[in-house]
Amino acid sequence: MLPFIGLLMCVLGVLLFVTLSVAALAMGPNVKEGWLPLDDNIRGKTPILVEWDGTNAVIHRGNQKASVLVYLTSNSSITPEFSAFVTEMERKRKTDYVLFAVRPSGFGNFQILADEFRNKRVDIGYEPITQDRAVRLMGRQP
Amino acid sequence: MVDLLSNTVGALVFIMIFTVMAASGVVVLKRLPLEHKTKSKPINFLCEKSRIIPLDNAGLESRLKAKWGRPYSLFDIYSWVARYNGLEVEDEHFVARGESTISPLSLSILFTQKRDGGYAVNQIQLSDSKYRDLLKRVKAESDFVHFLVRPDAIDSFIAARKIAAEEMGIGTGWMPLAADSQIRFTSRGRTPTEQ
Repeated sequence: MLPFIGLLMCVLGVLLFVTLSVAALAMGPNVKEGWLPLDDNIRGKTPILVEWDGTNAVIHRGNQKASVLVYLTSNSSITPEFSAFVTEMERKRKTDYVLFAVRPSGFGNFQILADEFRNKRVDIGYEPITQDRAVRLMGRQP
Repeated sequence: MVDLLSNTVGALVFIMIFTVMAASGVVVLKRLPLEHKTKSKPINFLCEKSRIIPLDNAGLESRLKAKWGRPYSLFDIYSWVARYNGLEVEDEHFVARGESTISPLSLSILFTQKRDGGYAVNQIQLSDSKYRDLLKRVKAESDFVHFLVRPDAIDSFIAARKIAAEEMGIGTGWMPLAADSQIRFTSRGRTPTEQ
């Protein structure tokens, strides 16, 4: 009886391995990137991660994410929803800063977006990230 | 038989942990510094596709101005400004073309990269690469390396920045550049920032 249990366990294990391998390959390696600002404690400010794709800003707050339309047209000013976020960051500029994850589709108009914060003396940082890779901030969260 | 079973289960658990870690993504430790203004001089590089292209804008500008010369007289000012328009100089990597308008008065330089200019990203990794030679001449106390990054060159930029910042200890900064935007330096343009 015992040899059959061992054989059964081996077969089950192999099946489990195959299933997980297929799942991992289907998701693709490196599908998610976790950023851990190394000098977070030195600067003493909390990063607020904002993904920018040229149209929408995805604002990360802890485990929550909110997508906000920034420009209605290419020539228009920022929407009231995003303006509220800029105002909030201006209020918190001594304790927080905005860390942008800039996607390739957002390269063209990123500086215009960044100027919204620079003009309000809100500190920013920015880092490029490929178009489809998910990103999250690790470590200290607001 | 029990040993065989234990070993098999142990190996499978190990493989499962590895598989789950691979599927859940990677943690990338980054300094992610804040942008700050600097008095250091930017040493520019264009990152495009898989190439890192040195942009000696200051050197090309001074050569362009030397070629431009000075006005012959006070009455020559307008034609002198007009003569700047279309003047060209080049180096190994870029062609610099002067642009001018009289009303409003403005001067700018359009930089167009040459075909096959710069260095392939796999070449810059070599210990005796020309990219590293260029960086060795950068004064870390008064200069910083500034990258103009096209959307198709994120990996190239990260590789080049890693060499400059982590291996050679030089300050760096970067600026995203749309795929179709031209590289034009004007007196009223954006000041490069360090990160």
